[in-house]
Amino acid sequence: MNILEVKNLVSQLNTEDGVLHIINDVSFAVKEDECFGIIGESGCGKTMTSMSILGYSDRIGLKAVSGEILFKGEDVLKFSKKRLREYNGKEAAIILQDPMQALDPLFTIKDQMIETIRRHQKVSKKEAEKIMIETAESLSVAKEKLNCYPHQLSGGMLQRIVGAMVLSCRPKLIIADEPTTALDVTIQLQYLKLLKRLQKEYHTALIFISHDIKVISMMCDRIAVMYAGEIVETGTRDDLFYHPKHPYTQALFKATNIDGNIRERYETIDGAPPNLKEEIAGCPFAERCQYATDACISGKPEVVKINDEHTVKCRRIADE
Amino acid sequence: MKKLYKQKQVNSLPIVSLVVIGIFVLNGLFGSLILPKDPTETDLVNKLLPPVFFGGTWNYPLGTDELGRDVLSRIIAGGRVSLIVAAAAIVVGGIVGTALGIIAGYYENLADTIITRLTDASLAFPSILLALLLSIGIGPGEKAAIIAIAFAMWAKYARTVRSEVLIIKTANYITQAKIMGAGDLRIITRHILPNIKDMIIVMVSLEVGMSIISEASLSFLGLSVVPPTPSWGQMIADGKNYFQNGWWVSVFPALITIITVLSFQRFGNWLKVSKGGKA
Amino acid sequence: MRYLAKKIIEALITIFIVTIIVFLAIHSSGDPINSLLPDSATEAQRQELTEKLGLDRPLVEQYGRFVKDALSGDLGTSYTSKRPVLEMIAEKLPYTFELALVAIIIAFIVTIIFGSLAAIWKNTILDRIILAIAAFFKASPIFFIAILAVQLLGVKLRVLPVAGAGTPLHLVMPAGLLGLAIASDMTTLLRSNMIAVLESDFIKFGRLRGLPEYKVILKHALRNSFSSVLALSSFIFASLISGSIVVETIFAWPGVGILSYNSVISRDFPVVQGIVLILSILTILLSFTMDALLAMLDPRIRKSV
Repeated sequence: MNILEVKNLVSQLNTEDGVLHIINDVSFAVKEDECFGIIGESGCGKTMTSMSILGYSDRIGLKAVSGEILFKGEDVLKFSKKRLREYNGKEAAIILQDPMQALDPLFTIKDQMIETIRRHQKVSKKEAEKIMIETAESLSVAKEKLNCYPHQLSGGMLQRIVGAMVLSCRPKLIIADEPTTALDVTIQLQYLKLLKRLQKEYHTALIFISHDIKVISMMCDRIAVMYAGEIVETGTRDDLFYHPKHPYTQALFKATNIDGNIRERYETIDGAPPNLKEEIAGCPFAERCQYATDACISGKPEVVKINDEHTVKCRRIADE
Repeated sequence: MKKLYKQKQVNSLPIVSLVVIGIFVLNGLFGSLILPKDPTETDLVNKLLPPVFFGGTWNYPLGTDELGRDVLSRIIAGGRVSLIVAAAAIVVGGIVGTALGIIAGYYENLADTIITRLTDASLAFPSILLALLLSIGIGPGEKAAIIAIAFAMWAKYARTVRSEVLIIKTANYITQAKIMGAGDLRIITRHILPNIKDMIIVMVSLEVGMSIISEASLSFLGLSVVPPTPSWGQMIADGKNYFQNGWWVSVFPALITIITVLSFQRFGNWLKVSKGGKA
Repeated sequence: MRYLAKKIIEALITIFIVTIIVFLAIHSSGDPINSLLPDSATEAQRQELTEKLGLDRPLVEQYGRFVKDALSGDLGTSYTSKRPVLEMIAEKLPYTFELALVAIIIAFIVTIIFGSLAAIWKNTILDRIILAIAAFFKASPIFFIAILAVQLLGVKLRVLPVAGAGTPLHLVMPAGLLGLAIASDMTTLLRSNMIAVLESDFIKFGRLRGLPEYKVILKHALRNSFSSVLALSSFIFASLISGSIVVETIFAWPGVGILSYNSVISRDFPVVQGIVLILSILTILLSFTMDALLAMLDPRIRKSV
């Protein structure tokens, strides 16, 4: 069962300098209980996609031009404000990048957690407190920490608290947007393992967003590769690991040292991502692609199905 | 990513404000040369004449006051007081405040503690109270107004400059200069002053308006220049008792004050934004 | 608690500095004997009075006496009414206090409502109107707006009394105008702070936790932006007291402002000295209260130091 289906989403951002084509015909599906990864370099539209899924795009000026985002068959883009407030937190929640900024500095952790729990569950203060303590324990957050203010705690502790806050409402879908980037290297791995374990325990779908291949491949069952507002390749971890098809995926995996083995040489990708101000007629990667032909530059590539899970958007593969 | 969807701020040069400021300054410097009438000459026969478009004549374009003095001439002459007091107060307050702010921020020693305490004390001290004291002490007049306003102002400079210096002095090139054996004076004049220059210019432009208002308030209370020298605040005060039959006596100087202050504010905000601050 | 202790010590130091300022300002005034005695006074009479007032003593000793007297509640005797200064001020102070209190409440209400509205709907017509009104109040001498208000509401429409005290209606114009004048600064400050706060991650996360918008704004955004307004309290109270002197003069509000104005005219300097001293201490105590409030609001301040 798919909990989330994004279908042909096209979104634009209106700025003073003109329209930015942020998300260009993005489609993917996330199954219940799975961990789905979205990888791509900064500015490729990962965060904007997650904001769209949560129905937050209007607030940041992002306009969905076409397409739909189906959560359990309901289009998030058509949610009323009231429906959206139920949906946020209770059904779909997010863990932001920087835990130091994610909580209100003027209130205790407890206050903010109970506020969240009671927002979505009709429970008394006492019951809410019980839920809070239980969830906090499952993330090994000690009870005393809950009476602290955010500035008194470390980043790692706060990110676990944010995790507890999110899980306390038992959402069906959690988006984790680079959740360890702001943490100390030493505790990154620990947090990822915890997140993975809880995702299984709480039977929730997790969309994991990162620019780091190591992290993505450790966490995710299936992965989508995003480039310049488009998803260029989707597949299981093994598909992308061992049989990457798209030249960008291949370059990305080559440019990074995946499995910890020391490679002889690191490859870099020449050039830079395209300017989002212009609508791209062809494949967004064409300019940097060594196999690109005139057809790649002038027309959009079709989506090619390699197997049930593995799809790629590349003219070269289609021609084969 | 955040930068992407932040809207760019439009910040066009405030031409009208600049023209008003230009007129204000020129009037303060050379206004006495173009006075149509003697601003202090009373003429009880022609008292409370209306302005030209309200039944008056071109002889008194903005009408006359309760003593038959020409309102236009008095506004021109009063502008000089506003300019002198505002400029002097800002020079005195700005220099004292900047100097103390640099000393406090740069040395961070006992002097800093004392200066910070003094800063807090004078920020908490209502400026009109000082003007009251001074008017008893040295007597009301331009000097009392300048001291009172400068006193209200220096602390703002000192506080802002101090916190800025605290940041600047940790910069690598200053450490470098110290290692190279540069003396304190050299570091302050060559490295710190150029770095806070913009900030001070912005503060000055924003404070001119406030000084003009303060001067007007002091004049209104009779704590600034004394009659017969005209000033805007004083004219507004004079006019308030004749408002029914001579609204122009207080309305024109008030309008001029408001327009001048608004122009300085607008210009200051423009300067602030164009120097990279927030509006 | 350590924060409050530090603030108390700071307030005491500030009061100490204020006493020095007041003392020096009065002593820069030249010889008070001249204003005390008629011009026809003989040299012997002058000499006698100088000794009686201790003006021939060293400055430090005079300052010591000034502080000692002030501490024991003796602020001297008025030259004109020959009454104890403290008594005269105590009579008028409740009026000024009432005016200032109502004005500051109005200022806070106006700031919270319009500052928040302008921030939430930034760059809309509503925002522009609020900013324009604030800029107008900032650029206008408060006494001129007061004159206009008196003409319109008092003389033309006759809905409000133009002078004096007694009924709550008497308070409307003076306290309202004073409140609006201070609110103009506070509103723009709250607006720009709230705009920054509304862009922060914890507001985004609050919304994405599903919190209703009123809770996001009133609980989280407002409280976070308001603390920066409170941090400016000393400055706000200084302009409040300055403004109240002007407003009292216009509306003949029988407070300390009028008393100080009249005392300046009659060069009654013990009264002026007493007023300045008491009002500055009042300002400092008010800002201290605000600091305490700020500490209650912001745990980071409470736990720091």
